[in-house]
Amino acid sequence: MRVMIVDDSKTMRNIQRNVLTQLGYTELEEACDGQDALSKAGAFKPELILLDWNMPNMDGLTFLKTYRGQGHATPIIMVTTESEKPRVVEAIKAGVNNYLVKPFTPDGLSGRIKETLEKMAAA
Amino acid sequence: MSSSSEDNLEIVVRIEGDGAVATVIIPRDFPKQTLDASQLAAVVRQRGVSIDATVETRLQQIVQAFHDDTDQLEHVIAESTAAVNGQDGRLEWIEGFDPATESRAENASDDSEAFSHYNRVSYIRVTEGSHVATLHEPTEGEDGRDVTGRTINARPGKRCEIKLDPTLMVDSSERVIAQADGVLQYSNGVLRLSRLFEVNGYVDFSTGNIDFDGTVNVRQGVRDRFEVKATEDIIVGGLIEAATIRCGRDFACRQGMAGKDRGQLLVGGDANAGYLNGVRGHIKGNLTIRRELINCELVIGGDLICEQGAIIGGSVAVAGSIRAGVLGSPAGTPSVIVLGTGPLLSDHIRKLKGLAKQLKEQLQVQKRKYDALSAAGKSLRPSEKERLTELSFEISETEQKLDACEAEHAQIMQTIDRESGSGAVDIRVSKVIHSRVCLRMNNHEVRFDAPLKGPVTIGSDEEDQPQFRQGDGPNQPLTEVAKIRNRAA
Repeated sequence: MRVMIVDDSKTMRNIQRNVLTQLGYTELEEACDGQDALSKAGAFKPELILLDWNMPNMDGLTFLKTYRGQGHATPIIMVTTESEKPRVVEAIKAGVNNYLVKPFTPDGLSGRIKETLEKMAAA
Repeated sequence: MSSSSEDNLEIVVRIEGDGAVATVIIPRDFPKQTLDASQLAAVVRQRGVSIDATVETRLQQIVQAFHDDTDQLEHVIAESTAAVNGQDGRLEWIEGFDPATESRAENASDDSEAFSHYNRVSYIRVTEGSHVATLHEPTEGEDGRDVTGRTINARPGKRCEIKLDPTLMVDSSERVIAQADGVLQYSNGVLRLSRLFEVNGYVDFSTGNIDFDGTVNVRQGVRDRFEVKATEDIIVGGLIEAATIRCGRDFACRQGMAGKDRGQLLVGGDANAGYLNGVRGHIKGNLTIRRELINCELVIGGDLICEQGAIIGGSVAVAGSIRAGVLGSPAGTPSVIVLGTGPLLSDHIRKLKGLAKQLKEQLQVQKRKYDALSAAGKSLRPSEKERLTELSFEISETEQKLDACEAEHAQIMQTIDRESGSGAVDIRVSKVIHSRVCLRMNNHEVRFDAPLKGPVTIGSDEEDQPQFRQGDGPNQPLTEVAKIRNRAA
C-alpha cells in the first residue's frame, strides 16, 4: 500500500514512517507541506494520507479541500495538534476520514491507521 | 571600341567570401540621369543577391550619393548572417559531485586547525536518491543566410559524451539521480556508481581514510595511521602498516600487516593474510595465516589456520580449532592461546552491560522530560504537543532496545552455563610446540617448559582432562609433557 506522510516536521515524518514500516508499509512518500503533497500525489497515487494541519505554504485543510476537489477519495487521517471541537468538525466536513490528536503514542497511530483502513474496506 | 566603352559603364555587383559580402561598384562615368534605385535593384537581383528592406534602403542611399557627386563608387550592400552553432549536450555537476574537483576533507570546516588530512577524500561517495548532476540536452543552433539568401547551416550540438549506466537515471526534470549507494566512477565514457571501490595505489594522504558502503579493493597497501572501513569485503594487495581495517564481511591481504602494536583488525567474516605482526582485533569467522602470527592480540570466532606457519608471542583467543605448524619460538617467547567461546562471550557481555546501563540512563532522562512536559496538561502549545509525541516515540524505541539487550544478555548467560567446563578442544601442531607456550583450555592452564615435537594433537578426554597424541601414537595425559594448573581451583 502506498502511504503519503504530509508534515512540515522531519522528526514527525520519521516517527510516522517508523510506525508505518513496523506495520509493513514500505511504499512511502513524504511531503513537507500541502503544496508539496499536491505536486507529489499525482505521480505517487497514495492509497492513504497522514496529514498535518499547520504547515507553511499550504496548510492541511487547504490541501484536503483541493485534493477532494480534484475528485480523490483516498482515505486521509488528520494528525494534528488542533484538538478544539469546531476544528475537528471543520476537518471532517472537508472530507477527512479520521482524526488523531498530537501528542500521540506509537500504538495510537497504528490503531488509527488500522481503524481507518478497516472502515474503508468495509464501506 | 564602343563595346569596350559600354563595358566600362556597366554596374558591377561583386560577391565575395562565398556569399559573405555583396558590393556594388558604379563606374565613375555612368550617366547620372539613367541611374535610379529600381534599375540598381534589378542589376543586384540579376546577380542573385537577395533584396530585403535593408538592402532596398541601402540601394536608395547609393543612388542618392551618386547623384550628389560623391567620390565613393564602391558600396557594400549586403552581408551574410552567420550561423550560430548549437551547444553540445553536457552534465552540469551539483556542487561536491564533480569528479574533476580537488580532493576535500570530509570533516572540513571553517576552522582550519580542525582540518584532518587523514580525512581527505579523493573519491565521491553518493547515496541513493542523490541529485548528482543536471543533464543539458544539445541545442540545434540557428541557421544563417548568405547575401544570396542561401541557408548557412548551423552545426547542431552533439549529444552529451558521458553515458550513464543503470545505477544513474535521468528524471523528467533532466536531473541525474543516483539509484543506489556507491562511488561515482567515470571511465571509458561511462559514469556509474560502483559498489566496489578500487584504490589503485596506497591508502595514504592522496586518498585519505576510506569509509565505504560496499567492497574496497586496495591494489597496494595501507599506510601508517590510516583507516579503511567497508560494509562488505576489504582486499589489500600489499603491506598494511599500523592502520585500522574494519569490514563487515571478509578480509584478505596478500602480503601482511605490520601493526606495530597499534594496528587494528575488525572483521565481520573470515580473514586471510600472509602474516600479522603486532595487530589487535577481532575476527568473527576463521583466520587463515600463510606464514606467521607474531605478537598479536586477537579474538577469533572461528578456526585459526596457520598450517605452514608459526604462532609466536601475544595472546590469541580462538573459539574453534587450531591448525598450526609451530607454536611459540625456539627463543621461548611467551605465547598465550585461549580456547573456547568464553573470551568472546565475556567481551560481548561486557559490551551489553555497558549498553544496557546507557539505555537505562537515557530512558530515565526521556521519562523525566515527558513527565515534566505532560504535567502542563491541556495548556500545551502545539510545538510542545509535537515534542511530547517525539518523546513518547523515543521512550518506546529505547524500551525496545533495552528489551533486546537484556534478552541477548540472558541468552549468552545460558550459553555460558551450558558450555561451562565442556568446551571441545582441538589443536593440531605439525612441527613443534616450543617452551613458554601457554594454553588456556576449559578449566586448565597448560604450560610447556620444554619443546614438544609434532605432529601432535591436543584435546580433552571424557573427564575434561587435557590429552595429547604424537603422530599415530596413543592418547596420553598432557601432564607428561606440560605443567597443568586447574584454573577453577
